[in-house]
Amino acid sequence: MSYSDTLLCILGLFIVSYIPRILPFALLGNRELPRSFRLWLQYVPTAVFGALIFTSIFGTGADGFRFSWENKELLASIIVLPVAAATRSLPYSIISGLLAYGAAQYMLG
Amino acid sequence: MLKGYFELKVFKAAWPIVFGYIPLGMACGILAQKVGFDWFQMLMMAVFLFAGSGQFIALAMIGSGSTIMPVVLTVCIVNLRHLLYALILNQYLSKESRLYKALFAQEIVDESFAVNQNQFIVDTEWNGKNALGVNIIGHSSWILANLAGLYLGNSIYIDTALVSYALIAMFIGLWSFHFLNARLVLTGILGGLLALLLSYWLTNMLNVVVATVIAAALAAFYETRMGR
Repeated sequence: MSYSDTLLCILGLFIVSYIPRILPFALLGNRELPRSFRLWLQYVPTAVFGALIFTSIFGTGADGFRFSWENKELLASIIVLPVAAATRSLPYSIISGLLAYGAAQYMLG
Repeated sequence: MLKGYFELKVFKAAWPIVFGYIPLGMACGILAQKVGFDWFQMLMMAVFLFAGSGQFIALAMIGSGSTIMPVVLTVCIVNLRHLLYALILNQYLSKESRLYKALFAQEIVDESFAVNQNQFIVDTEWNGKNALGVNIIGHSSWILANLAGLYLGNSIYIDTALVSYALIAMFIGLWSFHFLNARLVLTGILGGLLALLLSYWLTNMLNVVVATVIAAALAAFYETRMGR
């Protein structure tokens, strides 16, 4: 890709990334949403966190899952999850995660 | 003028994002240097694309000799999930000005969504200015980290795996704020399991989008049928 092509590419990336970001604001505005839609929205955050976290830990079927006790993300998360649930604190979650992941790296090499 | 955007509580809410973005953004800058980007290309990408996984994928594809269209289409799919975030944040920001929404939308990413969505729930005083402040702090630290990585290149060593895990730990922390009843916990686990199952066929994070839509719909359907 030439220099000008990369800039053109970035312009294209901006357009396709901005559309999903702005569309809900542009279309919904301060309109009252139907009850069923609000009910659905209420469950979106927990579902998206579950989906992001599980995929980050186990990888994807297309690339092959990391279902093993050598999986450092899994080992660290087994520590972080109860810490997070008990403390409901971001600092404790992150610090326990770094320590647990560091320990897993040290032990598994 | 700047009051509200950069109050102490905004920095308190934003620090985990900055903490993760500095090393991760630098890793992205290092990749851009390998691909042959200069400061202007890096700046444009960081300002106008602003997406962690989107930038890594775009740079990897450009580096391996891809043409424009495949890169744009792939990143389009990867960034579709931001639509879900905007849908939720719009509920809290619907009364803001058009200019506000235009700026705010550009800075919606996994991390800024997660932190703001949580703040709107736990802090009844949390407002649009605070939320935009979090977005601007996150975006600025990402831009600076990208440029720093581009210049420092291989002269520094970043443990990308450890840094990436810090952000996963942050998501687990943010997820735990939703553990208010069994249905919310189960919906999260269902979203996770569906995302794994769908990842055999749907790549580029599309599995995350579809799994979220289905899991939340099942939970809402169940609530309608069974009552609270």
